[in-house]
Amino acid sequence: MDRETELALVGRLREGDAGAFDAVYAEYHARLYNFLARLSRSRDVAEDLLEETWLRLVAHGRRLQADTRLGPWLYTVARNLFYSYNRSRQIDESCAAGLLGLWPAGTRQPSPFEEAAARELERRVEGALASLPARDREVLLLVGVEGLAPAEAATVCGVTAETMRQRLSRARARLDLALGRTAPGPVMLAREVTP
Amino acid sequence: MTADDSRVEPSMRELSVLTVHAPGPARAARTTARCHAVMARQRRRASPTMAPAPPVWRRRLEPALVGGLCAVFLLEVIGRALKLYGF
Repeated sequence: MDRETELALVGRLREGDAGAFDAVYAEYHARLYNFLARLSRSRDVAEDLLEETWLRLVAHGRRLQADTRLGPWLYTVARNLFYSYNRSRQIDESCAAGLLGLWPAGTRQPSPFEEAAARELERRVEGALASLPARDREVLLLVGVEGLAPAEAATVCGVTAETMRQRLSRARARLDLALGRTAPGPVMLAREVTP
Repeated sequence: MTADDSRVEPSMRELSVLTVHAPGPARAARTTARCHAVMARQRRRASPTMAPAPPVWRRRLEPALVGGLCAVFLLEVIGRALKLYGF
């Protein structure tokens, strides 16, 4: 979505235009769902949080700033809802291993080797991602999957650009480690000995 | 390495293999229906009411009448309280 279209949609949302809501919904619904599902590691939780995210947009639509960036705004709301949910449920990060296999395994029919290899890679990446702490997952999802610029991801997470750079670097190192690619680097070791 | 370079790192590139899944259609329909209902409520609230405005004499008389009745009631209460305590 280009900036001009986005600004027009924000203007129409401020006037309570249901058509503008539908356009924003069509653009972001699946993306937000995938973000929340991978962040929460639960499809049911993701659907609940997603619905609440859209209701927040509708409730605050008339009070949006004229220059609001819809993507970062929606991801910020979704992320905050996830952390509120997490706080209320006190989910333990260490239970990641038991929550793998979030998505269906795919088609049951036999497939060519390339497809199998691709699925295997996806399964490994999905598993590695799910094994990371939520703080790492969110930056990888925002920048690596959703394509937000690191500066936008910093806004979503409420941190400075420099902090985001460090968090991204640490998350990448942890993802590499989870994928069995590299030994922990100095960043990881420094992080692990820090209380 | 700049912050933008981080997106072309191998580990970040591998994140692109992740499938984009769609939420359940029934839940999606429920979500849009709820959002549209909220927007419709907001529109109704924002638009001027369709009921005709009361006439000017009634708008002025009503508060005066209610205020007068309240004053009478209050005076009666005070009078009875004074009588009760022997004043």
